[in-house]
Amino acid sequence: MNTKDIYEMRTVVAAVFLGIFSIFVLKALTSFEIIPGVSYVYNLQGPSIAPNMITVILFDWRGYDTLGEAFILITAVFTTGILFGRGVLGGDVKVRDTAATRQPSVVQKVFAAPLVFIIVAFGIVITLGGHITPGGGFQGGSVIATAFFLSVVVFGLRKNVFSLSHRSLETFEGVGALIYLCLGLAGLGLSGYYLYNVGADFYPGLGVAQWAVNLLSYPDATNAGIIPYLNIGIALKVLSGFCTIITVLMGAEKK
Amino acid sequence: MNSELIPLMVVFPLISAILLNLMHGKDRAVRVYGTLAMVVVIAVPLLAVYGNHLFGAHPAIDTPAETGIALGRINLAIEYSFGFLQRALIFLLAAIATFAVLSHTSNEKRASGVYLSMVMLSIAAVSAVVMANDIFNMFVFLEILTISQAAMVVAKGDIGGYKAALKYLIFGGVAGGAILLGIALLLGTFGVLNITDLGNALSGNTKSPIVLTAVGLLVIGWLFESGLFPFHTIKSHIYSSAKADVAALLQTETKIVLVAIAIILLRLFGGLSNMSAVMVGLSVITLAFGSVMALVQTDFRRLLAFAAVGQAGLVGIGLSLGTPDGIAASIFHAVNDALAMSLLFVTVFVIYEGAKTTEFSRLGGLLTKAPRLAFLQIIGIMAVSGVPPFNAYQSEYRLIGAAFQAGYPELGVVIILGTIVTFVALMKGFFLTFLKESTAVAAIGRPQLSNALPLVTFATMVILALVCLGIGLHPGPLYDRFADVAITLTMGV
Amino acid sequence: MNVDVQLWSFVVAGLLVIIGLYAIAFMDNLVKKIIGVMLVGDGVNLVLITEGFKPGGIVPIISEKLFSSGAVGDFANDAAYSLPFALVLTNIVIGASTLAVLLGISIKLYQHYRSLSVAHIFQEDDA
Repeated sequence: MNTKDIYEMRTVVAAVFLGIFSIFVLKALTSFEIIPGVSYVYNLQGPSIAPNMITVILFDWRGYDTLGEAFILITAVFTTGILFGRGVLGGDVKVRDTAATRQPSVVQKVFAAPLVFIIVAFGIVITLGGHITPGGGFQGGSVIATAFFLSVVVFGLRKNVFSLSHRSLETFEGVGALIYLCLGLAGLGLSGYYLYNVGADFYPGLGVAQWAVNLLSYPDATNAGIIPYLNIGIALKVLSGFCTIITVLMGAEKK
Repeated sequence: MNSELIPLMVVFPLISAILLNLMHGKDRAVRVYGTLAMVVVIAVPLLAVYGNHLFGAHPAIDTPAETGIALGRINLAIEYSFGFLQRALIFLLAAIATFAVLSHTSNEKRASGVYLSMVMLSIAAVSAVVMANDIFNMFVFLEILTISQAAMVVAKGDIGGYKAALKYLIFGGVAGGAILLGIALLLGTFGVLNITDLGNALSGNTKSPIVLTAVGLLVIGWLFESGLFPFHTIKSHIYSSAKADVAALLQTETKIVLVAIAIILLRLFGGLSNMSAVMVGLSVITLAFGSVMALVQTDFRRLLAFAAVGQAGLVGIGLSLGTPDGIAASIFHAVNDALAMSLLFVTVFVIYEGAKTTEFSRLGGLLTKAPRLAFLQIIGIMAVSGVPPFNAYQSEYRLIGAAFQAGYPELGVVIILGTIVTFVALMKGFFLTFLKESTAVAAIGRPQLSNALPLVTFATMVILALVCLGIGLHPGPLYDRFADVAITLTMGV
Repeated sequence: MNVDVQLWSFVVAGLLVIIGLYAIAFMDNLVKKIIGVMLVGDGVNLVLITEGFKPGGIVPIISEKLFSSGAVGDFANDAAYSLPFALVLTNIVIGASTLAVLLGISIKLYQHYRSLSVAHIFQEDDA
């Protein structure tokens, strides 16, 4: 039996397994009966924190999952950096920028720059209103990152509207993640539970000091507590993470 | 009981990862901070009090009738539970990771902050998977683990590493999708994500097609994360493409994750005999394939990689049996094997650093040049293949006993055969490296192995060898407590 | 015509997963394989989104009028199931991260081999 036969056999086996798998998955999905489950409890208790249930779940009940999610993005950003020479074992490898500057056409120049500012403003609105209206840190951050993409595509990496260096993007990302981690640590220090929503103080029996509650409650009509601050941290992190990835991938040498 | 140190086991490595990345480029700061951080990483699991931690302080509540959940009480928060098993596994991980960090900071000319932050991220991810009592949280951290492991392989910067990482991530994406689909099916049907609650809701309910599909999908995820049968070549490719000190860390992480996810599966679907049968079968195939593939390799690193995968199959057999004895013996074997395999990977790391190759055709006759290394390696080989008085002997002996007790004497025979094949493969590697007459190494002109033995590496090898011997002579204190863990686990089922 | 939206949404999600797996298993181009991985993730996302669907339900964002009138119980009865949506957001980020790394690796492999064919890239070590 030579290599080609083995390869063909493998293909047949893969096809058979794919067929069996498809039948099982489709059968399971079509006979699915859904119960409200724990979502009902979240919908029942959530309104006393903030109006947007999904943000409340993301940043309060399952805030720790969101921390993990943020760190997946961070891991991906670091890994992309490693791929293109930053932090490789045995010293960094410098990659030459080929997409550093571009000559935009008149139409691009006239439309891109104002559009970038509008998108950034929109992203900030989405981030800050994340606990009231649909939106949040992830969405706002990625919207702002699209503004960065637009400006990079039109003006090139070096001289674009943002003119953020790689180093400052990294610092932004670190600061965003540290905001999240440290708000969690504040909860741990004050109440004994990591990521306790100190500002909302949902369970007063834990004995959180009043000054801390006042300090960390977001000043608006809702009782959102630290959720908007977490949103801001996540937005910073997502924005700079996506910007770093696009910078690195665009900077890859076109041989 | 609430211990405030429990979340720190995950959060502290995460903070360190961010800081180390920001420090990248400042050589001294990276070295000093990396070393100090490992002290904390080792200390926290020893200091933390056993108990559960509820993130966000949300307590368990009485279930409202509208939820449709058939349970009296449900947990609202993400929960971590920390007991003896978790402490042992996290401490083992921290110890091996410390070696990887020290080996990096003392052997590399320029310390890489990004690389160390990847090590930190993988420590955090494995600790989270071990402690998580929430199935979705486990999934999130498994994804971090997959990407950070790929990053550690990529950091070597050669094309083989890229290819291994690419395969690993593509299959990782599929396995992640499978796990999440399984979680989605369970969430829609039972409405909870907490593993204890889910296990209670599932008990006696395991016959519907949705549950069976979910079991299948989660088992696929387990097979990938622990490098068992259909994925064994991918995992061994990852081990052999990484630097050998990283490979020691990677295989430790894999074995810990194997134990952690298998325990979650047992807690969820403990009564399901079909699942056990499939898991045992695939573990046996992994053991056979891993050992036999190790036998035919022509490169020492690839040989070790396949041997490590084969041993993972051995760990899987006992866990899949689901009896208290089998679970205890498997956990014990996972710990022993992680230690002994790490020792072997370190010896191969030294050979690679000295000779710049691990291909058997270019090695040979190193015994006179590095007698200490040869001695340590033979200890490692004996420890891995279960020769008394070393540690794996104790666990394999108990594993075979558990197989007999569960009514599968054939499994005992398979385990013995697998162990023998592994031993032969490793001895072949030892013979071709140290004993065979060869002029090739002299031709390379870099035979100074004994002088090139750095202090940190040598100390690590001696410590690992002593620990292997120590556990082998006094298995009682460790094994008895694993047995307690296994009994409470099966009682819960 | 009365179509069961939820059922067909599940079927489409299942088909997305299967198409993704097909692309991973049988397509030779690296970028197509990566698209396959993304399709699997999207299919699972669609399963989760469909799980959050509630026939006749409302968006899980409470209005100020409803909140101040104290009808939180009614809101909880009417609102779509909110937990799966939160999980979807997490999985989207996971997908984006994996995509970034996979694309980065394929750029590197393309620079080395000048080809995106998997058969070409893995030919020497494929047993």
